Amino acid sequence: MPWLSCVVSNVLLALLLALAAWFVQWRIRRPAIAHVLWVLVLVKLVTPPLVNVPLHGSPGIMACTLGTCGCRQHAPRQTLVYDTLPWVLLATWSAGAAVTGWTAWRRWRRFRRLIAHTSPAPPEWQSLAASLASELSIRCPPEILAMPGRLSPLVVPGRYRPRMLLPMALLGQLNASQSAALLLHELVHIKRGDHLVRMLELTVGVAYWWLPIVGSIGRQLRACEETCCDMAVVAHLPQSRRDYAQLLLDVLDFVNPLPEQAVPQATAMSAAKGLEQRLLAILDATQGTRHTWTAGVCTVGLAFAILPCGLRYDFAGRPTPVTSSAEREPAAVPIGPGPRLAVCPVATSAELEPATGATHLPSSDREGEPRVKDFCCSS
Amino acid sequence: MKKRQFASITAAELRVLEELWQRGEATIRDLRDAIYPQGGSSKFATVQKLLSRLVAKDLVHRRKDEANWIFQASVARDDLIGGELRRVADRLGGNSMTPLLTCLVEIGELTSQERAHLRKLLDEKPVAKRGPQSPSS
Repeated sequence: MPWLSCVVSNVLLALLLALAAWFVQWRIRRPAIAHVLWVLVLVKLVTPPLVNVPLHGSPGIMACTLGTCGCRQHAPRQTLVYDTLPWVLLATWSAGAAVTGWTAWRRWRRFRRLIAHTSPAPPEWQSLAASLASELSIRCPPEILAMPGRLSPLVVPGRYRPRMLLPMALLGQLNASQSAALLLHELVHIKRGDHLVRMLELTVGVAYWWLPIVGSIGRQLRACEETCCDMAVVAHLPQSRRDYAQLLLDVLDFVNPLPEQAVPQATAMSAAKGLEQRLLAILDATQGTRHTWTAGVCTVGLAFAILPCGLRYDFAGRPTPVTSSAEREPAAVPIGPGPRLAVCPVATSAELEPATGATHLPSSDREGEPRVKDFCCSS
Repeated sequence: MKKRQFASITAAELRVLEELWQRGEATIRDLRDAIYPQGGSSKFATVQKLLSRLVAKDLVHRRKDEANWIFQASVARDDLIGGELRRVADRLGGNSMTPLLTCLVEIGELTSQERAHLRKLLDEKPVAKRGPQSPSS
């Protein structure tokens, strides 16, 4: 089951990277570095391991638990595991990925069809966006569209260039400073390539539909993106901090207007808390972009070093069923100096060998000696 | 005022509605000629079916005028397109399994108290001045 080994290895290493990213984001508070790490977590999940790092000790226990150890005691289980389980897993995985991918494709197609009914943004917005895009040295300026409805301003990937969608009704409510801040925020997203990261996120979401942590990774990734964009906006428009913070609340009210008689609703504490932290960061001019290149390069370099790595487990070796029940009892054998280990008896050459064939097993197997890698548990 | 929720519509239904928004009102034959210029009686039945679905969804209303049924959109274009965009965007946004949109603000269901708290925070919090260390951007 090499593919299963690759997947487990990728998930474990991605979790390791995710821990590092979380630490950098919430403890060291470097959103730019954390963003790179979160992206690498996603890349790791879809990158096949190129360099295998063998694991000793624990794989034996894991292999016994999964029934892939080669021990005679687990032989009846092994045949089932090797023959059926991988195909069941692969079929379930493929079906889930197909459904998730098809759903995403259908929604995306529908969204694109609706975008065709939008119109270009007013000329003053187009010219402001063009001047800001040239200030930011954006090589491929986005298409600016005005859409009906109550939506947050957003950026979507396009066929040739990204598209920025601005709600028509909101455009008339903003002052000059807020307009510039809004366009700048979205242009910084485009310059950073965040709309392309969405494609990566989508790919990983489709492939790993069964992994709950993918959703959490996406949320952390977007939080880092927003923080980085906020920092870029306030660095570019330092006098408009309050206007920019006001803009975020205005957009919130625009998208979800409060009913005339406010009714207590379910509280989304995370959303409120996240927005509060964001507003405080925008208003706090002392929180500049801290660049410590050494730490950043070391962290990201380490993460890149993990990318091609994979963990190799003891999944190799097709087990052979054993007939004698008397031989299935674990035996205690001495392995050099030190504690005695209870091992599952391993099939000897005589048992492994089919009735007519010649044996090609190593000499230790031919002599009936247990191998260290075949130990399933210690006493 | 409670916001009206529209039923989801297909691309073909949207095409019929676009024609109705453009013309104001139209008969089945008018719509058939506009949407399927080469169409015959089979296309007439197609348009008729699409219109009956739109009437069932309460997006189009009809009235009898002598021998013909006259159809008219009962929903504004921006309301319907905006509502559809919002619905699809919610499914492609940050909280979805398949995010494709990068939004300015992740819109959560904030209560009025929470919004008031955020407004108050914004009003009361002074903009902190930068220290002697000038961060690079």
